Amino acid sequence: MNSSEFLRRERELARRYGLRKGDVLFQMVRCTECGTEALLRSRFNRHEFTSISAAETRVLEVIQRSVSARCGKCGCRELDGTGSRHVFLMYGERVHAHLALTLRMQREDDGRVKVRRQVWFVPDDGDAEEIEVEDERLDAFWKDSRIRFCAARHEPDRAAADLQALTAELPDDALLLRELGNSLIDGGRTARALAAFERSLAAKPDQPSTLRKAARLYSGLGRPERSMELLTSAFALTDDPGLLPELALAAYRTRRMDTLEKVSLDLLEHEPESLIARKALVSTRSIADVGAMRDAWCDLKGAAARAGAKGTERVAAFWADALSLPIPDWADPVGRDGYVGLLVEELRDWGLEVVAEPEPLTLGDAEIPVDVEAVSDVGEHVLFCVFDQAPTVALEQRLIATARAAREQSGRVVTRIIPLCSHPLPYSMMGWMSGAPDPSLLIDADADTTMTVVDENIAAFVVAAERHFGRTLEFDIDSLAEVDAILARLHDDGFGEITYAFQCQAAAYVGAVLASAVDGSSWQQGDEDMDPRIFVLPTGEEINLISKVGKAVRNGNEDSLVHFVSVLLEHAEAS
Amino acid sequence: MSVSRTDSVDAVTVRDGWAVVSVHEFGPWEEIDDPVATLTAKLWTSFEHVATPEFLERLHRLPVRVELVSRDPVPDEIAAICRVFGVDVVAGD
Repeated sequence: MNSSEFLRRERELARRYGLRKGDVLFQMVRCTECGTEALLRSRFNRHEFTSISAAETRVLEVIQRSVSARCGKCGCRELDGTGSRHVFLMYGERVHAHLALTLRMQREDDGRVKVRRQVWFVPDDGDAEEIEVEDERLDAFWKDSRIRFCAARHEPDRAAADLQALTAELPDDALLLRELGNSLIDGGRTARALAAFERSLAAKPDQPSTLRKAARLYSGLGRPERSMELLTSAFALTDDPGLLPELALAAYRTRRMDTLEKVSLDLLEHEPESLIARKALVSTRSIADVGAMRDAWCDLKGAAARAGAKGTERVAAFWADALSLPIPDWADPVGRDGYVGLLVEELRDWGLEVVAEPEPLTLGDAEIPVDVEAVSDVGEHVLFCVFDQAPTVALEQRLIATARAAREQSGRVVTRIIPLCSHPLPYSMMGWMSGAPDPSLLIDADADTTMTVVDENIAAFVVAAERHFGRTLEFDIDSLAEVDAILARLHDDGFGEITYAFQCQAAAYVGAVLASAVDGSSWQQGDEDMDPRIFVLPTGEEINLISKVGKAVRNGNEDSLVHFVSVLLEHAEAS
Repeated sequence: MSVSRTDSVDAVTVRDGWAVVSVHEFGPWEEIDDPVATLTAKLWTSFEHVATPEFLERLHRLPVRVELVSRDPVPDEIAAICRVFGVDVVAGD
């Protein structure tokens, strides 16, 4: 393959598959025994290129080095690096093109090697064009090279500092700001990373990968609305089905039901076994159409069984079974009382004994009303609570308290409690009522939420980890991987929630691990914009550990505690 | 305390074992610009508060309800919003 053919191939790869080869030398080497030529590939890591002559010098240094490879034809170990031709490729993202420096080597009779240099501009969507070394388009490549050089530092904080310094020279450079954001994420500086991404997007809105990263950060920070906007923009630019799961989660969190249903159905077309799509779909169904709601839960149950997702399967089994009871559709204009009357009639017609005025559930001083209590001939007591409202966080707290009350009743049989709502309830809210092992553990959890006496919180978490999750915690940094695994299970594909008490238990354990690694760290009172109790390192760094655990459950691996704590310890050691 | 102060929570009390987040309006509803939008914003602030560590630290085990306490009878559109969000209305005659 000659140089022109080679460049055509690279352009085609860039155009068709988005492959971009940056700072790579394709070097033709020659066997000194049989004369066979072969292609070697070398990558220049962390090297800043500032001109064609500097690039040529660097390439020639590599070509003249001894080659530690064997001839593929005769097995000879003596290969000459100065083969017939060499191509050095850089990618210029801002001009959507490769820069190719081709060196053609010709041996003279006197043994000297004559080099013919050519420089090519190879746009993703056009033909290669030979250019002069003074061509002004080359500046774009040197800018990109400089940014790559700064970003490639191993220490994220230093990379971020170098890139930040560069912003003084290139204040609104979208690519620079994007790389700054990436380095800040690696260094655990989420808020600053987000600011950098937003500036980058303001300068250049059509960056799907930056839109997606910023969306994830917003999602992690509990701002699903903005996350949804950014993901929608990214999807409009790319039509990438890989974005659909995130889009479904953002729609789920922002309760955009039409979008949620549409995205879920699109996702199922691409991934028929997607649990995310199935969980999203059950979250769009309500007892306005009980049959459709039951079908959605049955589909989820089947998909969860095939995927081996036992927790999800238990939740889905509860609801598939509950909705097979004679529950009427909630058709307008029937009000709440009217619906309760219809339900009582249906249950009676089905042969169940219906208690006329059921006793409320009690939880401490609170009496939680029950609308209907039905008793089967085998003594199963099913309690129904009927709601005619949109799901809110207040309703969720009420449902959790109701589930806890049902579990704590003494002298009263409560087999199951079924909330029926005229509006669709999210999967996580339905999960609380299912009696599945994980939600039950979370509902039963208790803690000193003021984090004043954390020993009992720690002990409760260690016991739960061992008995419920089968994970032994040894109070060392490595054990945080076990905590991550527990929180990842509760993450449940992004639909998981956690009770505050369990959050405090887990945070207390993470605090104990940190305290054993960093002398002088402790729980202290938080300021207004922080958790009520925060964990403070001797360096003065303040950590919202309780919220951090909640985020880890909501966002999964994105908010891994192992990564978070390792960054914290690096900061503590550096200061 | 007023629906118009949409960025703050009016009151949180514990009553009969329930955590009660209340929104208070002592003035006439006609004096509020776009009362539906204003009340909706106020309710979102109240709901967001229910999810904060500050609230949960003290009240995480209690059932929660939100109520609107109004000096005057509430207009129909306000009653409708309260129904949608499951807000109990305590209003004067």
